[in-house]
Amino acid sequence: MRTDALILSAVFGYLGLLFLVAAWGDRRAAQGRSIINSPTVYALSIAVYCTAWTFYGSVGRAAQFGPSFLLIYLGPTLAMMLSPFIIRKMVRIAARQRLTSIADFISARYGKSAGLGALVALISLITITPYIALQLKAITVSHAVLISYPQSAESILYNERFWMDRSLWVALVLAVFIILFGTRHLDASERHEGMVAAIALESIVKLVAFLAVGLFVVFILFEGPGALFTQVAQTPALSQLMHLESVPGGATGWVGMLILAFLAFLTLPRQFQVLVVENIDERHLARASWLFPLYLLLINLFVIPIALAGLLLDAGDPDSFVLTLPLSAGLEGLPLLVFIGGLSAATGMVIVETIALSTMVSNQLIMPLLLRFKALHTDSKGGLARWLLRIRRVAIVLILLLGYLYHALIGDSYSLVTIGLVSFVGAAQFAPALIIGLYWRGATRLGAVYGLIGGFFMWSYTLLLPGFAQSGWLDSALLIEGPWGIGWLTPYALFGLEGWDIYTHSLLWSMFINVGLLVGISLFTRPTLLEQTQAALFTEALHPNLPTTSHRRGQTTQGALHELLARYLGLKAAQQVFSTRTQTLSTFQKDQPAADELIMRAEQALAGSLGNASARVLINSVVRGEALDIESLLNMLDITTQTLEYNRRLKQKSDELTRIGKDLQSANDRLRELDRLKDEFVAMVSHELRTPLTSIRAFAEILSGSQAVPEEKRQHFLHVMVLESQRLSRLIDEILDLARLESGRMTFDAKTLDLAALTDHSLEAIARLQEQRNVHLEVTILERPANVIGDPDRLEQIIINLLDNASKFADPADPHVLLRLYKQNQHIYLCVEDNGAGIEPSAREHVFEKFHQLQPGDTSTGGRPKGSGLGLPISRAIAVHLGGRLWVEDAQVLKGACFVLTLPEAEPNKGNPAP
Amino acid sequence: MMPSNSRYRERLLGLVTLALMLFCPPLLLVIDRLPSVSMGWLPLYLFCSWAFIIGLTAWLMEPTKRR
Repeated sequence: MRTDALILSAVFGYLGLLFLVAAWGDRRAAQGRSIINSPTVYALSIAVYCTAWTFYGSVGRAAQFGPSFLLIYLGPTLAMMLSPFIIRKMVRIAARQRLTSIADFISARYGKSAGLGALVALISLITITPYIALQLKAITVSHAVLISYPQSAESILYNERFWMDRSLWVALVLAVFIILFGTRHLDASERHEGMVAAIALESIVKLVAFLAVGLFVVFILFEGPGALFTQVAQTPALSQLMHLESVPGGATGWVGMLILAFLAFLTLPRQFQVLVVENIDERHLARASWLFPLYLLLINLFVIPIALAGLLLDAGDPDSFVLTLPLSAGLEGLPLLVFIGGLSAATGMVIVETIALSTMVSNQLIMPLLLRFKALHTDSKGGLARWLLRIRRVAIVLILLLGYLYHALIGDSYSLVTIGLVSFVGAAQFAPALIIGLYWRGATRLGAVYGLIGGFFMWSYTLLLPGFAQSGWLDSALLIEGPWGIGWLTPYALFGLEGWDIYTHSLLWSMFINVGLLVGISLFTRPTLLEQTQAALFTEALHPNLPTTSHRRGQTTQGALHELLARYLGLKAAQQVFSTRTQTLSTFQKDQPAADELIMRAEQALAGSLGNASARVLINSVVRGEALDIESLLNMLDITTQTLEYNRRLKQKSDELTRIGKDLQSANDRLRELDRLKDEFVAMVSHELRTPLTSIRAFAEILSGSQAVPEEKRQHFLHVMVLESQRLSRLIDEILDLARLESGRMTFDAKTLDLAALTDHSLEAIARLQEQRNVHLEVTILERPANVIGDPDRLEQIIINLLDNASKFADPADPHVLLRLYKQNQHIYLCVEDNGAGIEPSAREHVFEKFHQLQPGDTSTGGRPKGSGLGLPISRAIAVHLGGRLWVEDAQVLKGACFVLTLPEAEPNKGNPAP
Repeated sequence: MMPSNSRYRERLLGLVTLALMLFCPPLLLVIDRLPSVSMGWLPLYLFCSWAFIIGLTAWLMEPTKRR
């Protein structure tokens, strides 16, 4: 059933599907209804990170080195988490300057240097082509395993002629695909929507395939993870595998690999392509920053179970476990799905990497050379554009063929097997120039060039050369004794640094040299004006006030500019540059000077197609007097920074003032309120004092004015005068008390006392009055002694006041008053109830206001005022002063008002004894 | 959507620091040396902390009415 014909039809059927999806994506893009304008598709396209090396190699790595394979995915997780700081900046710069590859990006940062761009392109080509070869090899090997199982795949691989190799045909189909969907337009910054759609589909396919084989192994081959891990536990060699000691280089190797994956994720050309160049909207980064790590987690979920299962069942080469495990179970469909999954992982990587490399080769390597031939400058309209597309197509075919040749000729050697991580370290050499250049304005072109060369040299010496030696092309003594027998030059243990994981070792030395040269040389070289401008534009890319207008002050005519664009990009592209919202082509006048903005747009259009360095050369050929306005740019940035700072401080001050204003306003309101209360108080006091005084004066006048007052009447008048005088002096005492209480000058003789005894005392004092009023008084004292801390005179004043009020307001027909004293929650409660009409809940707080008297109109009072209106405010002030409370509630027994006094219970033996 | 306020940046940097601490040796060595019956706690720990970090990142990055 597993015939070659079936497999081939599945392979080419799948590739056909990719063509359809890509064509659909391109058509939708042309209609303006993009299918890839979604953060989810963006995240899936980033998953091109997971190549065949992930798909087959992760299991192999886990089987050999334990959990270290996870580091390849934890690094990108960290990088994506930092995307608002790093990748967002890169996306914004690339969109603004129309940068189309990592070589273009680095060259633009360092003054649009053609040399630096070429260097990056060259290093990419050297480090990445073997990586493409690795993908093709994975296709070949997986196909051989699928065909020959249960026999070893070796025989097929050895006996096959190269034109029989399926990966050659796959590579050719991919070349057609990439040429169709990768070089449709010249402007690489006009994104490859169809290709991205196809890549997103491939990411889904490889994830589904891997999860399928994982579920099969765990739940069908082994009846669940429990069964699998139980078997692992019984095999001592396996139970030790998933420990840190299996990781090459131990803890140091762990950290080194994490850093390596972090850096490589940002600098691998294909990642730069999908992350930065193909990004449609920088807001997509927010979703991708967690969705892509989630994808990585899912695709790695079953790696360990598959590796352990493969080792338990002895399923052959660990790199092929994902295929051999379902094959060994006699399945037919699943291995085919897995094979297609691996194919999708490989082809996705090959497609994006080839596009990225071909753009670099054409724009950074070939284009600068072509521009040196004068003949091309006088070519017909759009000639160069056609040339460039041809160059790019040839480059694609050449890169794929180079990859295939690498695989076919030296495919089985050591250097290819390990090329994944070797490529990572090679690509990571771009990181210093890229990342330091994003944040440090002082990094210069020379520093970047020497840093890159130095890092590349160290990488070659510590990883590439030893790889050659292990493949047998160099004397393997190099690895043990060092070159010419010099021990401290041994590539894997440079300067005696032994016992390190080779990749961490290489990363350390290459980064040491790379960063050291970049920083050191930058500190001692002077950047050109253009470098300074570009450095400022890169480091301040996220600056909110970054000027987007031209920084170029040159002169040329519109006609010259139009001619230049038409010659290199074709008439259509030239027209697009000239027609904007404000200016249509009809207003274009040949002899008029071109505006700065137009020159900038023309340069951007050229940069998007030919690379920024070539664009600069071409623009300079027609613009006279290139005077970059670096001064004004830097000034603008600095001034805006200062202005922002001033604004921030001003806002801070203004907020502070507003707050102070509010405080003042509320203080003023409070003062006004107090003033009003004071006026009210004075008016009321005067009124209260005048009432008894008026009556005393009236009687005194009667008595002094006439002798005809009968004795009996005279006695009555005198009695009233005495009573009114007493009332007056009591009122004045109360006012003085209140004044003292409120101002805090009242002195309290606080000591521990027995409230029960004090109550008895108060009851005796008031007994006669109660008898006169014919009040029926009932007393229930449940707590004896009831110790509280207080001033006995003041407390007695409260109790008498409460009892007096209660008897005044009790039902006049049959007055009842109930006093209860009890303890609850470490508080002593003293309640005085009456059987009067009670107090409305809304009026309950008013009775504690000064001079508040239940008015004659109130039904509860029977039409006469019954007090000065100061007793309760004074009582409450005393209670509060002693740490207690005084309030009114509904009487529970007598159904009138109930005044409750609570005081905290005191330790019995503290202070003086009770009175 | 990506708020540029300093609070958000501080939270994100805090989260990255947390991720670094979870994924790096001192803590890893502790987990690796825990006594275990089967194959050690390291893989389980790595996957759990990874998922935890992804969850927190999603919570921080996704715009909701909360911010």
